[in-house]
Amino acid sequence: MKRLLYNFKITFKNKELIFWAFGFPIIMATLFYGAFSSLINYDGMEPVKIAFVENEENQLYPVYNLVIHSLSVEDGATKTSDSKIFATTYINNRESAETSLRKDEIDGMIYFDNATDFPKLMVMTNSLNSTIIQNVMTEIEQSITAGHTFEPANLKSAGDQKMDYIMVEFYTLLAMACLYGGMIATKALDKNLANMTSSGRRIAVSAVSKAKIILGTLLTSYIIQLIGLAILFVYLTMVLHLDFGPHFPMVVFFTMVGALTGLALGTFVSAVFKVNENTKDGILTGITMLGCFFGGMMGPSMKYLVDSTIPIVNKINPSAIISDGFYALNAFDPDSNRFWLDVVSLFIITSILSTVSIIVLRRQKYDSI
Amino acid sequence: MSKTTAGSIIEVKNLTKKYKELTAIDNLSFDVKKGEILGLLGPNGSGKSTTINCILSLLKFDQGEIKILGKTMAPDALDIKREIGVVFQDVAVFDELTVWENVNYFCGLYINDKETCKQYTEEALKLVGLEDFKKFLPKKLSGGLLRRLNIACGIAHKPKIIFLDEPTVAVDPQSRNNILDGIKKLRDDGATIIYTTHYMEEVEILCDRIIILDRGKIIAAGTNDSLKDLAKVKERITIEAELSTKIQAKIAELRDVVNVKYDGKTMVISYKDARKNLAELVSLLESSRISYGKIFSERPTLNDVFLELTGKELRDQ
Repeated sequence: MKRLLYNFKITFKNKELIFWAFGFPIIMATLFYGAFSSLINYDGMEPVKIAFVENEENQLYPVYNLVIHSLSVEDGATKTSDSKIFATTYINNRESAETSLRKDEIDGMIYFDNATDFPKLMVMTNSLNSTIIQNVMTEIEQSITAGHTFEPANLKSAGDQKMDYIMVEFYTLLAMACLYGGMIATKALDKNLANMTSSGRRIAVSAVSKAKIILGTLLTSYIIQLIGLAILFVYLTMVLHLDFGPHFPMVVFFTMVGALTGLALGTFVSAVFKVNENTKDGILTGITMLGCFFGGMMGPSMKYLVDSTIPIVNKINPSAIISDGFYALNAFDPDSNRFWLDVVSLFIITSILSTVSIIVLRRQKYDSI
Repeated sequence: MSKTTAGSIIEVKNLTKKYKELTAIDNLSFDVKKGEILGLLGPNGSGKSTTINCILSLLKFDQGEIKILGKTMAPDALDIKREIGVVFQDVAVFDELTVWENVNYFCGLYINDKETCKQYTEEALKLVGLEDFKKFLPKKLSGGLLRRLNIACGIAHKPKIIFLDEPTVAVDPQSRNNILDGIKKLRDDGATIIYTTHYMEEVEILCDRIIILDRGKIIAAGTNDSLKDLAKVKERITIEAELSTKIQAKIAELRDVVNVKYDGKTMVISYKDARKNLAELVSLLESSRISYGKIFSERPTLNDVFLELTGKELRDQ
């Protein structure tokens, strides 16, 4: 117990570490909030302009015609209302739609390539509007695949869609905070490894088993990580007034799972890479930031791009999985397959990282120190 | 429990450690008797720290056997480790904890009882003279005080066996004296000490037995006196005087003189035996009516022994 308290003190007195693990996510959250405040506080929005190409190829899924129609505002309307979010032009010629898209007259076009596939979406730029179209298309496709009848009334309003877009940024921020917490484990473990620090050598020759030392260190690191995340949540919900949906206990549960993955990543970096402390920090930061980038931190469109072109990347990318889990909790419900798949994926990644770390850390003697 | 050499608390047999092509320790064998201070003396890179790290089971080694307290040493031999204290060459403390907390933390790795641990912490701080610096952070301490803290962290739990790896490197004379006094106190309290250094004066003052290492091999071992007996020059007399060529020749012909060096002001005379040399020299000078300034006699140092055995100075590297 006394050792744990000392471990807390050692970590909390490391100002640089506390800044990166605690302060940096809060600063990022504040910057994100500043960047999106105009969107968050905006009352209405122009409908998203799309072209729907009607040709003989779209006979298999006539539901798309109906759904898009029900989601479209009356001709000439300039504001969205409830689920009426599109200003749709029906065209029977794909080339004409493409021309409109290139001229920036529309935000996206929906067309059928052949009679057996779902329709395709073409957008020219990655923007909020293109993301909204993408979301709607995904939801319709998922309804058809699951054998449900798609209810346009269940579709989120444009405002909610907009908030989803913004929240994805904060979800990736939470993912970043979870993984950045691994830095605490990396630094704490380094202090206990004989091949890394002189204090580690002293601990290695002491009368306490290595397993006990490492478990104690990781427990302390995890608790500190959770304290940091709790502070971040308080800031996001109490200060920035962000809404994490109706399933807050599950959000907390999922955050703890994400933090566990961060802990495993930090342990892995400490155990596996035989480099100095700064380089380890660089590796962990690099993995986290690159993962967050692919996971949609700089805009959800990057996540969609990665998902559609190299899907395996985000299947093994903890940042993307964590942000997707938060999204699934908010957009669907805790019983959804998507959420639990994310939970299981994180546990698998955590297990793999932990197993490799244990194999390396089990070593008791070194070739050189 | 296996058999041990009588009275030996540590036994090292045929220890060999290689780093790729470099043999850092070459078939090293020695033992340490209970209650003695054994000095491992050698220049930097001679294998002193590597030997200690192998004994402590921190380093893998290619060949050999190490027993402590009659048992084979291993990384998980916690019962043996409980009896060992180590003061590493590098200062091994936490910058985030105060002096008192550091000693208490490391003592707590051996002593479970909170009150005993507190008491031992206080005693260790007193031993190294850091009672007035309890609340200081390590970065506020001078180099010498930091070294003392390093020692306190290693010995606070009152171990039976203490490894001190160059504990006085880069410390001021006051701290060095304090550290050496502390080590003597530990020996007087019954600890067995293995002390590595490249300062020959320290081993001369402290150690009951000395092993001189070079390139991972033992080149000589014994007590301070027995090692000095290995030197061909048993006495060296230095005299400041103006000496004619005739007198210089007479001095060179004195009994047991093996070498004479004169720079016009100071003469250094080396003898192969150390019996009545000074008296004979003074007698010669007075009978020749030669006035002289300083005159003093020196016994050979361990550095002389090392020089004769290896052809280089202890502090060459």
